[in-house]
Amino acid sequence: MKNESILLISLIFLSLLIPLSGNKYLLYLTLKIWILILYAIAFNVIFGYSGLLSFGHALFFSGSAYALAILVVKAGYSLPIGFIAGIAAAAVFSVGVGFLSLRHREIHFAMITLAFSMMFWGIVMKWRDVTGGEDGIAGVPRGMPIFWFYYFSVAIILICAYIIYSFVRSDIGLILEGIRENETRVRFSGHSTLKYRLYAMIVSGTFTGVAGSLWAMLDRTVTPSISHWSFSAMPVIATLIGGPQSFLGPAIGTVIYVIAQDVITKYTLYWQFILGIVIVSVVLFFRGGVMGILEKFLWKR
Amino acid sequence: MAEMTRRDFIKYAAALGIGLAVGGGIGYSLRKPEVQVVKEGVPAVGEKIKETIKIGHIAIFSGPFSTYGELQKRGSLLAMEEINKAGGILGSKVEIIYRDSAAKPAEAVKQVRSLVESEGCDFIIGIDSSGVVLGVAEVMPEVNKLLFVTHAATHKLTEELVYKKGIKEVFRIAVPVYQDGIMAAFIASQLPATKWACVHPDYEYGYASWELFQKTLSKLRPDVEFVGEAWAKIGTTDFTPLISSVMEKKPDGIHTVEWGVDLFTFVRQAKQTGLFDAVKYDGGYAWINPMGYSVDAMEALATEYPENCWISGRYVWMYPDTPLNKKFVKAHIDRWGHFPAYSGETSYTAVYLIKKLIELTKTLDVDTHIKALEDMVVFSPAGARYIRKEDHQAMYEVPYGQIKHDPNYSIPVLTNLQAVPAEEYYRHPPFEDMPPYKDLYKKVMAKA
Amino acid sequence: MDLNAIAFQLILGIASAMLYWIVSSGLTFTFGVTRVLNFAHGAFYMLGAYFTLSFFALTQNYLLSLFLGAVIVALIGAGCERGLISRIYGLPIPFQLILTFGLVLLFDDLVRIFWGSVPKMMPAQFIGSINVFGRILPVFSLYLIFAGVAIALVLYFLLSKTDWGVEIRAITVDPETAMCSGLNPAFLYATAFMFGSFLAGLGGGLYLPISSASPGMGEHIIIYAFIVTVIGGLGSIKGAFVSALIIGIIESLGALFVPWMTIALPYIALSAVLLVRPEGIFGEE
Repeated sequence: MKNESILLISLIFLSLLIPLSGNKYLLYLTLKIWILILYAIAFNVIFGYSGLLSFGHALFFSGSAYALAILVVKAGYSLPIGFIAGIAAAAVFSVGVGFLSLRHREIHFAMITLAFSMMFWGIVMKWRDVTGGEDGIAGVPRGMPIFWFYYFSVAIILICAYIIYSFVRSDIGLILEGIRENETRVRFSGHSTLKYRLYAMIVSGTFTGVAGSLWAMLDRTVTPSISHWSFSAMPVIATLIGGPQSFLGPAIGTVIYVIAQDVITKYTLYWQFILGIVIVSVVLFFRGGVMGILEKFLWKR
Repeated sequence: MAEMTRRDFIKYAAALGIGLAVGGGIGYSLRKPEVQVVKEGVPAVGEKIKETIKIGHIAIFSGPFSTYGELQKRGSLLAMEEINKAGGILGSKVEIIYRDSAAKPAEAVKQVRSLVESEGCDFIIGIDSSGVVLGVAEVMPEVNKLLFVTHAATHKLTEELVYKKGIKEVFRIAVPVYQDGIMAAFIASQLPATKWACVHPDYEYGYASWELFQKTLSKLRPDVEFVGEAWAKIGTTDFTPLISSVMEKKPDGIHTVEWGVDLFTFVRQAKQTGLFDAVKYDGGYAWINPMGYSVDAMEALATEYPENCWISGRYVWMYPDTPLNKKFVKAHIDRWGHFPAYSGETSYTAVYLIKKLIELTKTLDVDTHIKALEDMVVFSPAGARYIRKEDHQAMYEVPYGQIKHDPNYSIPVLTNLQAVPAEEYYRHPPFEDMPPYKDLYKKVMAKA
Repeated sequence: MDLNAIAFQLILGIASAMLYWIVSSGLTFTFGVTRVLNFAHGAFYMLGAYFTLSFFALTQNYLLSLFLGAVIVALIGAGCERGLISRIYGLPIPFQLILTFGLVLLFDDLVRIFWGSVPKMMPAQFIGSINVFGRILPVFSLYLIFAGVAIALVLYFLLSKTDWGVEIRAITVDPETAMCSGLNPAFLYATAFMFGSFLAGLGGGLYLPISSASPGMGEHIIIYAFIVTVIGGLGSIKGAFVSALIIGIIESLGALFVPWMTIALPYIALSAVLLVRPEGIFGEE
């Protein structure tokens, strides 16, 4: 175990060296992966730990990104205020969506979250004076050079990851897993399942919002494509590749998915074809995700 | 328990680190070496400015609109082949790398960075939709390369980002939404129709075109009314409820900027539902479809598109009647077996513009390039393009014409071409008002 | 706004609802039997359009091409079921969605490889129009209503009057008892999936003469099919019919009264229904 912690620290350290390599694309791509890792980990609080498939996390992601962009670019507030307001917006959205959707299960939960996020998408497309419509809002400031922004973001992401980790390992997290496995039993033991799921939703949505705000600053534009349902599918795929039953599964899935997509698009314009084959084989042959395989072969439990 | 969880965390974090490092390693090893032998000042005779001049071309290559990537590729690949066959640019070969924007701004931004920072591209061309181009333009100063936009039409790009915000790395080769809104209104002003309605795609491009159209037409012809509007989601299969809701308002003129596959469906269904008949006048249809003369639409719809509708493009192959244009059209047909699409011409011109730029400045320095490009005049198949200094918009005129089905051609042709000099219908800095319409209207009327 | 206009808009709404109905009938039918939510249903719809197109180029007979196209898609569907989807029966829905999403990506690019990126059209069929309420109703709207109702009747007949239909219903209602009584689930699942794919292919072919075929066209339709299926109640064919009508009519009347918000109407309908009745109109708890 000690060796592994040394390995971990040295590897995170290695990723911190990437900006120094001078390859800006690598820096950009790695940071994008970091942000999507936070997105996937936050998403997995509701998916892997609570057993609810959300198909509307793009709402929290883009809700936060839009709140930041509107406040900073359109209303002229300062970046820190925008950043905090963006996260707050995601938290508010997650409370609202949680209240309305959490009594649904399985596919109905997926569809109602999809419906809410697509309504938000419709508003974003139509309320052009505020959101810029399809064109979105350009010119979100970053507040610092991309070199420092990288370290700023990674620091925030690591802190957020640690908070999420503490949350899922806390008593609440254990109760959530209990609800996932046997809801009736938990209810009989005197816990309100709805309350705990709402906690999970708020944590999940809020940290998705952190990822969304960072994304807005990295890309410097916010457009409706991050509100669309296809953007909600992204963490689902990543989580399934990595393995939903472990904390870092989604992170690993994200790394693999983004890099696979990046490499494939480099070599062929028929990238969808290859990516399709990859996704199909993952589901067929690597069902526990990468973490499942690692646990099976490397860390024999 | 606590010990266990911490161990778990460390274990998983280790796995994450491995993932990141492996990923980073793969990414790093896959990147092409960045050998940029850019000479200071003017290179000596016979010395190459760079071994290979690389151009990144980003367009839509997947999904329902993937045809637009193909149409662009035909143009830029043809230019590349011609240039390389003739000895390259100052002896350097040209290489074009094609990437899919997937019509998503974030994906296109990523590809720009990948092309510039990882593949070592010297220029970026292409980009299909307005949302995507605005996102990409924002990062051009950061990657410090020039972007030549060949299709996306939003006027915000040049008016707001280039002119007001000073993003100087962006140039647009194609005519913007002025063609779809303002120029369309000029044509509309000459038609007898007084009650106009629209059927537009439900996104920014549709809104902007309709806004400009209404503003311009109401100044040119105070007697017109705008009676109805229908907004079609992208990928609409059944337009009939939209068409009937518009026909309920009894329009006698239709303005539509539908394009791509949605246009095919729309025209076919409009024909069956009597929308064309509703806007018929003596001499044609009061039907204005700015991007109708797209080669994919003309090939698919062919004789199904009623004759005498008013359509245009960002270039139409029969205009202007110059040797350069004829040569381009012939070369394009010989190479691909198709007439050049508008985005094919703009992509072709973008590559030749890069050639001219480098031959003129003998450097790859971006600031020198920007200075050289401002106020430059380029002779292209679509005619002389003047690159306006303030907003980096290439100014050239594209005519509207009426569709004719000529058995001598494989696709419908345009007749009765109506062109207005570019400076008369493009908006001008500081972009606060529309062009001086009063005089123009007189001119247009005198011609008609 | 006179009543004739509204009535006419209703007819068009019903006609355009038929697309939603035809596509979601196959989706909800397949789900009812196999409990698999098939994202690739839209891709089958696209393939139906392309195969109809190619058969039409060969035979110049639309109805024959329509049938052949749907049969080919049914075979492809059966191949996917046997080779891929049968391996994920019983897994949580995310796995099904992602596997079939992978198929969507794959088929989209296959279409580009075999048929090219440029969208294709076949010659228009069902040309002409009639006068209804003083307005022009294209013949193809009638043809769509006819096709939709015909498919509904055929489905009703198949499920209630044939042995296969009875077995399918048995396995839908109570899989365990059905298996105990000697039914072959593998056969029923495969044929049900095949039939669902047939309906998707038929949908693509039916809409081809009034629209066009393009790569990725299934992605637009599949989300609507999901909405319709969920509003109607997952697995309920009756529900799919009713909710398709609801969505079609809402969109159609929306175009008349609130053209600026048509884009959001289906989602508003979906969340409204789910908030009041989480299992959908005809769904079971």
